[in-house]
Amino acid sequence: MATEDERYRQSSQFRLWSFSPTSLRELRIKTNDLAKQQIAPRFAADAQPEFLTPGEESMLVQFFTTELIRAAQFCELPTEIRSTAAVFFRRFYITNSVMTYPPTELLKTSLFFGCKAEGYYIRLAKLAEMFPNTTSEQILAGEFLLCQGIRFAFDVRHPFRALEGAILELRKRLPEEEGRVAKAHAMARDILKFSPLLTDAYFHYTPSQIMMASLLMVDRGLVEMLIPAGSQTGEDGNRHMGSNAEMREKIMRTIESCQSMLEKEPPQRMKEYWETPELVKSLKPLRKKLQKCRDTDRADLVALQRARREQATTKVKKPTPTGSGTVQSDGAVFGEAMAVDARDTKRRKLEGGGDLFGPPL
Amino acid sequence: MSRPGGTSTVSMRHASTNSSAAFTSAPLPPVDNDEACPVCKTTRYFNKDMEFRINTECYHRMCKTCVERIFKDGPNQCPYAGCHKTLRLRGFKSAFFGDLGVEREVDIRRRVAAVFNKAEDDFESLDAYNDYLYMVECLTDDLVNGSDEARKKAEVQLAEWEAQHKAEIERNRKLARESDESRQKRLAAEQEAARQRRIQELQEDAEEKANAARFREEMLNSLQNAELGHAAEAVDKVLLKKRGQQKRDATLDAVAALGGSGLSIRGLRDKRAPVADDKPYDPFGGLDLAPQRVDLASENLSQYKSEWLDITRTKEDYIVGGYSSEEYLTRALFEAFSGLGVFIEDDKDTREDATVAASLEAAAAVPVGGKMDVDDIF
Repeated sequence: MATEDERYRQSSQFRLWSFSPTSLRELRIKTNDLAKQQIAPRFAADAQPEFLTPGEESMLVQFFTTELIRAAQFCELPTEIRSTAAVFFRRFYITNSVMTYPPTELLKTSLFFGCKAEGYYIRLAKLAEMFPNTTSEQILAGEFLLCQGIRFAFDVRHPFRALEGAILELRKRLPEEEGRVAKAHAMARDILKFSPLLTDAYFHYTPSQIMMASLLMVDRGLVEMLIPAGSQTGEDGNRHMGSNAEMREKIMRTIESCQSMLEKEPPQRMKEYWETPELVKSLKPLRKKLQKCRDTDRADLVALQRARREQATTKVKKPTPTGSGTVQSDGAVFGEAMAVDARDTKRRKLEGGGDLFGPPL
Repeated sequence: MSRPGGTSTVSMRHASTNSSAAFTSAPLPPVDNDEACPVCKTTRYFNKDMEFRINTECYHRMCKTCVERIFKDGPNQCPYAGCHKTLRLRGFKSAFFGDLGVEREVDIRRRVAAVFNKAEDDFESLDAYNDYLYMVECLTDDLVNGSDEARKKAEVQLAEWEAQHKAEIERNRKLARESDESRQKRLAAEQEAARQRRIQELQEDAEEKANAARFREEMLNSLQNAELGHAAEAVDKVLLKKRGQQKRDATLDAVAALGGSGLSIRGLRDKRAPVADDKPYDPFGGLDLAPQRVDLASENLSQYKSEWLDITRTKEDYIVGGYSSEEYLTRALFEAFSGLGVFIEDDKDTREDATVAASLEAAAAVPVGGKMDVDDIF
């Protein structure tokens, strides 16, 4: 077995965040079900709202991912951060429903946390300024929630560096076809910046496969040239000689299926998402539906976090200096609302016996 | 090596033969006759300092004066009647044992042991070592108690063995001497350390006594000087001071104990030097991280070219800072092919239950987990 593959298998991306299409689908359905179960008791029995279906949820996540990419572009964040944030966002909404936690908030949190995860430290206040009606507190409120949602797997393997490597290899092999390689490079990069983030490619394929697929979309000949080198000592290459061709065949098949997935969201769609009014319109009813059926308790992440923090401080009896500081300032700003909220919390805690131990997802 | 009581451990082969009767060629004088020299007939009455000598050739006893008289001018025949051995002055020594039979056996055993000086470590198994010991013991017994013929044969065997294995014998002897020396050195070091410890203890005792005396004096002084009615305070002060000192002493002791220089354990087996391996040391224990799909040999890496790679290779700004374009190249090329042969659909489908169940479990467990009460409490 090639050591490269073994090493990829060690990554958290493979261990925690790679799924086969069926299991991913099942996971989403399950998430949706759980969210429904949880939210239903919040409403009166006769006024149950119409809940989103898993498919609609996916569409919404997709839409908000484009929003996230747009926001990142607006903030002039580098590609890697943009992609990391997008992947965080998508990962979060696999085990959490859009109805449970508000995507508009988590979008910003993902961006901020993506910066952190990639080692690019941006001022929180600066980032908050970029968005209308956003305080730095709002961005921070969901941060731990997000970390939890992505199960603390902060390392996202991107195909960008892999592309650079492949291009270097191609340049070495085809010194006289500089133009062709350069063109393929630019186009593949464009694809990688957009298509894998909007599809489930990161969950179903390895970065190297995604990269190859993007090259395949641009220039099939180049991939054909790269792959044989790859499969020379593929899996079990030493044991039976016939497996080399078999392996290559399998890799090609995988890459092609990845390609067809990427082709659903070519980079040209980027503009469509924002500029064609039909698309925006088609999403409007969905967003309205979301407004109606979402979990009202968890809509305000700031209050949620504050309540939690307050609970922690009262539990400990001796608030830490930083904790008490924030709580006080919070109290000063949202004095009234908080008091009501705290009471609300207590009441609900007493009423909702079944939910006492927290939601299962 | 040679044991005085060796006769009791004679091999089975000779257990039946009468060992004392086998002494044929050199009949020894009665042992208790310690009063007169059998050669010159001098008695202890006339020569109080009479000392007996023997020669390892025939073990005939004679007094020191006789030895000097007869053998001073060179080799001569043994003065005993019927004994035709030629003896030299150099071969004489005083007997360690009263029983010359024992003396002789000890000498023989010493001689054999000098030739057959293998240690247990030289053998692959305990059985092999035991066989060897048995062989040696048979030979020794032949030499000690055997008939004339057997003795001669054994003598020849011994000489042959010695001639054949000269180098080996020499090496073993050296090893034995070395281990002896190192043992002696260790013992000496231990004794020295013990002596040091004793001295230190004595010093500490003296110091403690001095301290106690000073403390008492101090207390008396302060009591004397203290104002009326403040005696208790003064005593407290002195006591506090003493307590502080004790604490300091305790920490010092602890530090000294941690140093552990005074400790040594007896009876530890000397560690052998590890078997020298020709291969260089591999810190990763044979872990091979070299990718198989792309060749990352350094001479290969220099063939990769691009405008900014050239910049990092040539521009001093980068070189001085230690930036190595090869690091980047290795990483990029590794990532280009890493995981190309991982088919998530296959992998995850076969292990479906495990992974998905685990992930669900993890997702479910996190909000509930007591310590991380992160999620809300509703």
